[in-house]
Amino acid sequence: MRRLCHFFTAAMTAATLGLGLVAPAEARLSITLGSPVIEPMPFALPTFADEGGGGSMAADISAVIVSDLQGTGMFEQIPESAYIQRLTSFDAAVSYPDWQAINAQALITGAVQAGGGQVAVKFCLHDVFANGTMGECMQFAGDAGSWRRVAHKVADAVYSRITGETGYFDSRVVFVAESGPKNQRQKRLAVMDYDGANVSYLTDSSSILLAPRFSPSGDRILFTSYSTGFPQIYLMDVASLQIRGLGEQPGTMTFAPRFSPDGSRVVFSLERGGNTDIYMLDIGSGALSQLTDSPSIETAPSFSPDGSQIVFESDRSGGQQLYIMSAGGGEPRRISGGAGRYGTPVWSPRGDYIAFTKQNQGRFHIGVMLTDGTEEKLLTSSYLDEGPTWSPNGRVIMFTRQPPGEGNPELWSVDTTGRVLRPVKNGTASSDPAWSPLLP
Amino acid sequence: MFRDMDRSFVISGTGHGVLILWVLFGDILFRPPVPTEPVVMTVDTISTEQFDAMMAAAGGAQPEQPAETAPSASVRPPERPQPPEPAPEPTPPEPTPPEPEMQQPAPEPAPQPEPEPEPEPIPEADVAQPLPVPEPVAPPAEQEQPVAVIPSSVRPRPRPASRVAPMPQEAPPEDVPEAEEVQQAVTDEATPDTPPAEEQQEAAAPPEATTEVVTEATETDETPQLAPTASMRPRSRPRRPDPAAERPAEAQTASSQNAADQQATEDAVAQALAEQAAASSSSNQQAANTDAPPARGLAANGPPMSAGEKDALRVAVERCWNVAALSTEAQRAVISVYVTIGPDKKPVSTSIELARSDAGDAATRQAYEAARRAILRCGSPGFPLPDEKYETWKELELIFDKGRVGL
Repeated sequence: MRRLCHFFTAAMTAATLGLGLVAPAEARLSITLGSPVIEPMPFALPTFADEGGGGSMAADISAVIVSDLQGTGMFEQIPESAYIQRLTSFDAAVSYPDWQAINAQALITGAVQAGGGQVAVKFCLHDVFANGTMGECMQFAGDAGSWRRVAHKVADAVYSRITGETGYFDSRVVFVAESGPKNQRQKRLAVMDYDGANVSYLTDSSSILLAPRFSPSGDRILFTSYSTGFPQIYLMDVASLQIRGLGEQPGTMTFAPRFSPDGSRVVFSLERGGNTDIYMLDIGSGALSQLTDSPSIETAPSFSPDGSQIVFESDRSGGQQLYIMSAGGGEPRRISGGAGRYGTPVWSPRGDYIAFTKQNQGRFHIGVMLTDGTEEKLLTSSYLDEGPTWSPNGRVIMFTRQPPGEGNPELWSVDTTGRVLRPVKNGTASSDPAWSPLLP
Repeated sequence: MFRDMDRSFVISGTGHGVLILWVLFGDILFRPPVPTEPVVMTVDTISTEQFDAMMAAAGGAQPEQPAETAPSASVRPPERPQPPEPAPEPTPPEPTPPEPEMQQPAPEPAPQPEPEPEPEPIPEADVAQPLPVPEPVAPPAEQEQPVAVIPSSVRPRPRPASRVAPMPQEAPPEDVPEAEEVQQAVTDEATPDTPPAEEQQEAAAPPEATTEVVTEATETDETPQLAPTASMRPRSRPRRPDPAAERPAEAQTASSQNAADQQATEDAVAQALAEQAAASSSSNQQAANTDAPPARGLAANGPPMSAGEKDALRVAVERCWNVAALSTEAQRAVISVYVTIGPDKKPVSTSIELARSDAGDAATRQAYEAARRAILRCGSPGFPLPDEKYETWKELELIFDKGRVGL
């Protein structure tokens, strides 16, 4: 009984005291901000220090990092001539007020060390106004011949740390390199870095090749070849450059192939008897299944990132429009509804947008829309823009731009806001780009 | 002995328990009955002369029983019929196509009071003379305010932003031309030795900041500008009725009566707030003199910030709130940040903390870092804040909510 009384009294006292100790609600002046500015973030990158054997590589690596970051349109380098503090070594203490004075919001310091055919780059990303580093300092190493990849890796790390998204600099693009006059065009497959450097050819120009597509792992390439006189899809192993045909059906034409997200299947268009429908091919077993059955032309299929749906173009309504259906087939639903014709849809790797080519009133556009067809946004407008492909992080689209007249096709890129539009200079006439995944 | 101790302990514990329960729940258990809704009556003040005249007319009736006296026309009858329904407010000005004023829905006249017997006018009471009834006309400002005609719903063009490597485009031909017979050959070899990416550095993003993204497709849009070239002038507030016109209550419209009452209420509220602010200001001044630091996180009751002062602070922070380098998720994040502002009007960097966010960890971190940079960068010279309201703005909650604009 006594214990019970003790407990009761203590409980009641504690309850009373507890109620009395409840903190009063905070009363702060609250201000809501809703109109941010959109401008490149100023950053400073002193040329990385050479810690031995680097030679001009330190400057070259620094230049590639700056180019990568500035090319996004999100960042803008402050010229080195404006720097107050001169960092001569990687271990030198950073005087943040000096960088705050020139309004540098981010500072990238680093050093390059080379030797024995290897190159190593260590770097730190500083939040100038927080007076500290953003995350841990890092180091990348690789063959000296792949110093550009090392630089791209550093830029990817910086980009990812600031934006919160994965980068896309350490990636490659396969495209169709064109040469010769327009009436005798020679086309062959080539790959390059995302920024147009390091172009190399995968095939000769003995036949016309079109529509290359990287596999999700980046080790294989699908493409369409006219080597037999009719379009047929082929699969190339990037390492060995071995080629084999896929889905060969006598009396048919196959084209517009694209991998499934897991890389085990290929969805493509097959023309039989004058009618074009979409088919699925299991690469391992060779099993073929028909996904659409319509007298209209269905082509340019593209998987959703989760592999559950396919977006494609069809003229079943009288004009080219975009439709989405289940990956197993079934009744599609139309998602495009604006004026003009829509084609070559590509699902973003993020899953949020679908990029497309639009032709309206004599002009071509590269645009994006949400997967339900809303919020359509045209990013470009030109004489001829077509064939969008997404960067690995879904933030940038590369496409083919054909100028009127005598000009050759070029590769261009635009971000999903449409703010950063730029050509991708690779030194050759190019079309039909397809972005690889981020390299390992 | 222990039994006595137990007994006393039980008595003490029971007593304390009852006391605590009474403190906790007494207010609920012994709550006085809910008072009936008070009867509100409209009263007016009268002058001594009027009172004397009323007394004289009442024949020496007791002033303590005014309800029993005959209603005098010299003052407002106490049983003046109230409008049966609160009439709607005068129609606020709307940006609709202009209509002749005569076609505007005139405010409904207040329902006439029941034909109760009007008090007999007493000739000797001067104030009993009914004033001329004002015409129930609309505010004169409406006659002078031409409404801009918006020819269509086409949105105004956004301010164009400078572009990266703008390329002039030729006018598109009607049809895509056929391939020419002879075309210029292109080089068969690539030139990988020339790093093209570095050449693009000068074509980097425009240094000029913008709050709206203009794409190439938007720039080439030839849609004519259909936005109104001039905005319409704001309509003036309806003129307050002449206080003298309130005397003949029968002639007043219900809407104008309610508007006047609301205006009077607002004035009273504003006055009360001002008085409270002045009182709190003086008390805060005393607190400051005694060097008694208020508890952290509690904003003292300083004088309120005006809308203009809040806008100035908001703009000052927004100027440095740069979301260009944020992911889409981080841009969509709505985060709340607490910050303490020093007497020098500069943010205390160590006080900045994330209060809440509606996004995931990664997006929240990016959004918070951008918000913190904005506060520190634009706060380094000191925010534009009024000195006398330090107690009000020294503890701030800044809510960064971009919404989906420009995504």
